[in-house]
Amino acid sequence: MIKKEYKHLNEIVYIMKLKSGMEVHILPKEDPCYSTYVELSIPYGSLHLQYKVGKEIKTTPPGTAHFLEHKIYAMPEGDAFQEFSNLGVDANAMTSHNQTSYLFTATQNVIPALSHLLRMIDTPYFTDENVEQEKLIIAEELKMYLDDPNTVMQNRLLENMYYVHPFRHDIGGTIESIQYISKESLLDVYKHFYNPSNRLITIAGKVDLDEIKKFFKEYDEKNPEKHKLPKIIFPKEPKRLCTRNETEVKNNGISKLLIGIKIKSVRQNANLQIKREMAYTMMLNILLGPSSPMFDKLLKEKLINQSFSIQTNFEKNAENILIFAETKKVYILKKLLIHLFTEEAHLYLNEESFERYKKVYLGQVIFALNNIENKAYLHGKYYHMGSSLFDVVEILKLITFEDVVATLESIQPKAISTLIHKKA
Amino acid sequence: MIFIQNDFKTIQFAVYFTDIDKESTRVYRFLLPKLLVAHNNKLSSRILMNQELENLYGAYFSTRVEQLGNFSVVSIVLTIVEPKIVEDDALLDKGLALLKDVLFEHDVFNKAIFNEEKRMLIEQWETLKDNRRLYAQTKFNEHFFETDLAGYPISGTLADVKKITLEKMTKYYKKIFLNNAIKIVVNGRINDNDIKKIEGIMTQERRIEYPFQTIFRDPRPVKTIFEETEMNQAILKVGYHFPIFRADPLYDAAVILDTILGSSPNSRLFQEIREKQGLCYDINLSYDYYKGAITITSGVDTIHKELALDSIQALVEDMKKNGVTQNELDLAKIYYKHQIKNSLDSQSVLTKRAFIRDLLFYHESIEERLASIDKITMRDVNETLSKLTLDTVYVLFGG
Repeated sequence: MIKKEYKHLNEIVYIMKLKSGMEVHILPKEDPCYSTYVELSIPYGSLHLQYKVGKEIKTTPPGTAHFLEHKIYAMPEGDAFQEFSNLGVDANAMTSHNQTSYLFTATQNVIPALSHLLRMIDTPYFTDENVEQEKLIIAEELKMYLDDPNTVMQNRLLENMYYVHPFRHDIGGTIESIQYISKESLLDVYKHFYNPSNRLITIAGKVDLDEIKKFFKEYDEKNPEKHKLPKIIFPKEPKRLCTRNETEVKNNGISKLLIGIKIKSVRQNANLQIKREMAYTMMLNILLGPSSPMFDKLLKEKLINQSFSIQTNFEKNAENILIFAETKKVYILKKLLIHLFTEEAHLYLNEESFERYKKVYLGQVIFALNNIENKAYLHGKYYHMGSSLFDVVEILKLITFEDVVATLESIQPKAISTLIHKKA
Repeated sequence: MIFIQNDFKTIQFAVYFTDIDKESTRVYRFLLPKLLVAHNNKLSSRILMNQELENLYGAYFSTRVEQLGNFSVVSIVLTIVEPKIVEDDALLDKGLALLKDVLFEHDVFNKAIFNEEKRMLIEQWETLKDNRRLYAQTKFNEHFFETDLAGYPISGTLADVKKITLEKMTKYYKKIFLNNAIKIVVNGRINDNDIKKIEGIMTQERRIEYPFQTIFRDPRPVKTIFEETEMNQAILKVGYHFPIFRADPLYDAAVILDTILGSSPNSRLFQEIREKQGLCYDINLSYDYYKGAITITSGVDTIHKELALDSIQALVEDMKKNGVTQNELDLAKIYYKHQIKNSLDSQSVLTKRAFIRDLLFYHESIEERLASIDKITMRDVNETLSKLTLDTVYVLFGG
């Protein structure tokens, strides 16, 4: 077991590397601590719709990763959730663009729950009947999202921005796309992505190191085979947008504006990419964060309300900025924001704000480490990216004001797409 | 003042303002915390306030107003990072000074900020129907609680918001809010010197003079409301009259019932309505122990709304008739105790818990609480079931 210590953050990570390639990372918390948080993550998410096995390219319907996440709980003896409840632990799962995570929180029965989690993952049980039953449940989940105007807008804007990249699809797919999912397609994905070699297990909180070590040693003896992850194929995405501007009239209480900026992706190592992402979010905070003159102006001129939000996405071959606002003056706001990004942004970037935001980002890392679940989730996320959560503080120190200014170069007027839902 | 010394990586300063809950003051108590944390005498604009917070390593204020029985509680919490981690010895002092100014140093409120907050609250009302789930919850509360204060919007009504003026708000702040009962909880890695310093600066504590009360009307004939709108699903809300309150001897048994019926993946509602019948993705139950009410919520296909309603009600009736099983009780106890222990790892839960224990004079230790859960019998749970009475059915559905 390797021990890594991050004294400045008062954190320790123990790493076990198993024969199969699976890694177990343990992030202990000193007493008083009651809970153990366990997350098994697999680098397979909603964007991984095409993969290559040998010479064969396999294509799966949008929503497959999310569907598999639901269906992995099916066991020959019934729903795996029930056994987690019987053990008195809280279990959950989530699918993101790049990974699927299965997790539980326990205050007792950690090893039995861990054993159950691995047995669940190692026991695919897909039948025609249970797959069809799950389609009904997921259809209701998707319909629930379709009743949220903001989700509907985001889905539409991404379709307007991307021609072929899987980012244009909702993580859950559509009611239509999930109809093409079968027990065979789930099993094929399972076989290629869910083998032990590709898994990371993160255990945070109250831990008994010896007990965990013994458990995984035994597991390793039974599952020593190494598997290679299939090559993920991303279709070549044009730089241009499918649709620049779209306006629809909707029966909403207020008009809504969503602006999407398509950014050209850069291929580089994980730490440089993290640095680049931080530079982008700093740029956005300096321009439109709560302490920015522009944010103040937008509020004073009644152009935005508390719903105003900015989101960044940095996925492989799909990087973008999304800005959402509810407003009574939708065309004025649209003009102002586009003008800000294409003409004025460099006037607002300044070193004083940059230095402040460096402090904010350091604070945000500490806030994230304060919560066991959050810490474990981020640890897994950065691991699958090829970096480490605890290196983020060092990466932050390397960012310069010039890096932040340089982000503006990638914002081109022709790569800005807008969607307006005008109040009827 | 309550100090909780531990090794979290952040320090929370929580200040609770408690008063008797009234319809007429709801809008003030909802808007006021937003004004307080947006500026103060020294930091007279949002920009200055946010810059100050950024300089404090992204420190942040969270505010909330909630109804606890007959009390209205406004909480204002400042969270800062642990000063030693960022090697900034002045951070605690700066945070404390900021908190004091935000709470108590407002000679006048900035008119532009007041108008912005007022406008945003009005727009929140105007867009309520866009958020179907929130709209359904608001309408359900109106029908379920009717004339009871719990049915009145926590932010006041749209008419209340439109009527409020800067002058009235300033008067409310100075004459009433600052005279509320005040309790301060500090939670994080703080030493004895820090405690002395905090006690020297935050000297405003006082207790509430009124007794805590939890009351609700008697059961009534079932009220059913179907409302059609533009949407894909139907949102079902099934409300039960359930007069068991936080301080009642049957409270823990009521939580066990809540767990067995609908608050865990093993629950009857989840297993029957979602897993067996495939009628929904989400089905959950919330037990309001300050109001004595249980609400079951689910989103289903519009064409299945009647079927789902019938299934939910039949399931509850069956449970009332036949009771719970020993296995269900045993598993629910394990789950409930896990929830309690797990919550103790959350800094925010510990902070709030300390305040509630002080406000309501709860002195039971965690060990005593866990032991009392072990003593719950099937008879206790079945007794709580006998108090469950169907009261209100509200359905918001797409055409």
